[in-house]
Amino acid sequence: MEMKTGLECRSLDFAWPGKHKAARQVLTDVSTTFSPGTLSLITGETGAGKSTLLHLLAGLLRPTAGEVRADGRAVSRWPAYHRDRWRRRVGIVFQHLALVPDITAAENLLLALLPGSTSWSGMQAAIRRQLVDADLADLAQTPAGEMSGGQRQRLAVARAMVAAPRFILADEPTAFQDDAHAIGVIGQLRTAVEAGAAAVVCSQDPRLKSSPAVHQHYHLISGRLHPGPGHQDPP
Amino acid sequence: MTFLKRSYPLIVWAAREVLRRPGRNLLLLACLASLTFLVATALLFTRALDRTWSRLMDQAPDLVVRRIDAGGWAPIPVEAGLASASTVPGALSPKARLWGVVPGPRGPVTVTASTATIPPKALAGLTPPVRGQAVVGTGVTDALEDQRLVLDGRTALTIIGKFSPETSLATHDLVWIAPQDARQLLGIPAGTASDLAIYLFHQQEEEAIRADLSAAFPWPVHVSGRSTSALRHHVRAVRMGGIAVVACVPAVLAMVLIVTGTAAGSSSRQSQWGLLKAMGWTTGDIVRLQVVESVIVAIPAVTFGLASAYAVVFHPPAAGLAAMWITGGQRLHELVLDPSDAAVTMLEIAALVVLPYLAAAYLATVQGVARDPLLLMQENPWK
Repeated sequence: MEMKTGLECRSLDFAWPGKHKAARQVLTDVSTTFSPGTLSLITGETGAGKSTLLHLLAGLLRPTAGEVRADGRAVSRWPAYHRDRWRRRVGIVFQHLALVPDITAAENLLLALLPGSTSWSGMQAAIRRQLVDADLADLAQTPAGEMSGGQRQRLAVARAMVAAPRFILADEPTAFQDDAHAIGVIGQLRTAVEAGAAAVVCSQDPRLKSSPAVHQHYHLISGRLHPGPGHQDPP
Repeated sequence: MTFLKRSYPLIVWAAREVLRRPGRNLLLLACLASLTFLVATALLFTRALDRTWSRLMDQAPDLVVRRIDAGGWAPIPVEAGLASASTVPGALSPKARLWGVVPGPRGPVTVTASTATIPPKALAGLTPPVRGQAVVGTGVTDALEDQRLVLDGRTALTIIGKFSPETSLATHDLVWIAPQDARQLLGIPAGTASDLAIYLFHQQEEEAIRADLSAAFPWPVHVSGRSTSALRHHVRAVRMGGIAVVACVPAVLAMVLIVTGTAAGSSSRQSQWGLLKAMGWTTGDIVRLQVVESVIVAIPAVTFGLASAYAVVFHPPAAGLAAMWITGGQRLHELVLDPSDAAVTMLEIAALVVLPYLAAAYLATVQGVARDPLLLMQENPWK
């Protein structure tokens, strides 16, 4: 069997368990590969299953059928301990951001670095760098709960990037951004991709749809993933 | 060093987490410190009292012979008594003692003219009193406004010395006076004594020699042994310890509440744990964080509680207040207890308080974290 690098979905199914055994099917037979060095954009209507697909790719949920492979290894079949450790190589931007509101911006970034093996000084340097990239350097000591929606979203993007992950999964990362900052977020994603990361972004944002930084376009309809306009198959 | 270097960021973050909830953690610290203080004070006091009494009893005579008649205690003729005691093999150095209880300024005091009734440690550095003089215990001096002591309303004495507070357990109400004054106060004629103190060559022969001594005297006598007194005191100490343990029941209930609160508090943080797992924290990482957080609260709380209890039990006059609380009102302002072995007791108490608390933090976290991260995050949806 050929081993592919990057994130690969093989015949992925997912259904939320429902009452009276009536499970609600969300994803059906999703198969594709998100290669290193590419930025993939998944579009689709609200409720199409975009966020669920990201959660499956991140190992936050287990598929009901099929598997998710990372660099050829079936991470969706791994026990929780190994999946938790593997997630150190994944940066996630949640749609609802999931920031800790009462701690500072710098501390929110620190949370992503603590489980790794980075030295204390290395953590400080990485946090400073990410805050500068996210245009939040002046707000390092501001509690996340006191920031605006756009600033919080950029902080969530910075948190996903701070540990230099191999896989970046972002759910609507530019939704609350003005044009200038949306370009900044796309630039951050492009820089990470150029450094070898595989990035998957779910978004309805036209600025992302038309961005030349995006390499692959997908469209999610009724739980099935289709190549979108301008899609190029990975090499 | 490598472990510390690796754990340093986690420890720093655990301290930050403690500071995120200052009110809750301060309350928890106060509860743990109070609990430790209550349990430690009760246990340290009863154990130290038992130990101090045992140490003093080591210096007491092995056997005490008292003459009895139809009216109760009777003076024992010294020469005949000593001669009779000397006939018993194994009974060494019999000494006649002159002592008794007389009314003092604020209640009965024990007067003695025999150094054999006073622990040798208490006699160190003191000049024996002559007629009209007295050496007194701390409980007697408390009742005086000047250096004059009037006993039985008729005998006035000048105080020339005071027993060391360290021996107050045995000398609290003791008045050491000259034999002439003692005979006058107690009504004991010349040539007689209150009792005979006898030392044994072998402690194990106490029971056998008691029987021989009872038979050796020409009058009925009562022979009491050190082991009898020690046993009586030990039973009392155990009873006091039991009462102290009963008094600790509210403290134990408080501990149950703290442990339950810790478990409940941990479960309410599941959404944050879900987020941490989503960022690559393992269950082990989160459990370590929670345990370190608990240790950061528990160590100062227990240290403060133990230090306060130690001060209250072993440092007069606070020790007197502790004694008044635990013994139900006895006034022993200058009570000095033996602190040896206190470290072991304090370690036991620290373990008694810290281990259930850490176990609660550990188990609640393990139970709370063992789910998929997304399900944990949905426990309390993020805004």
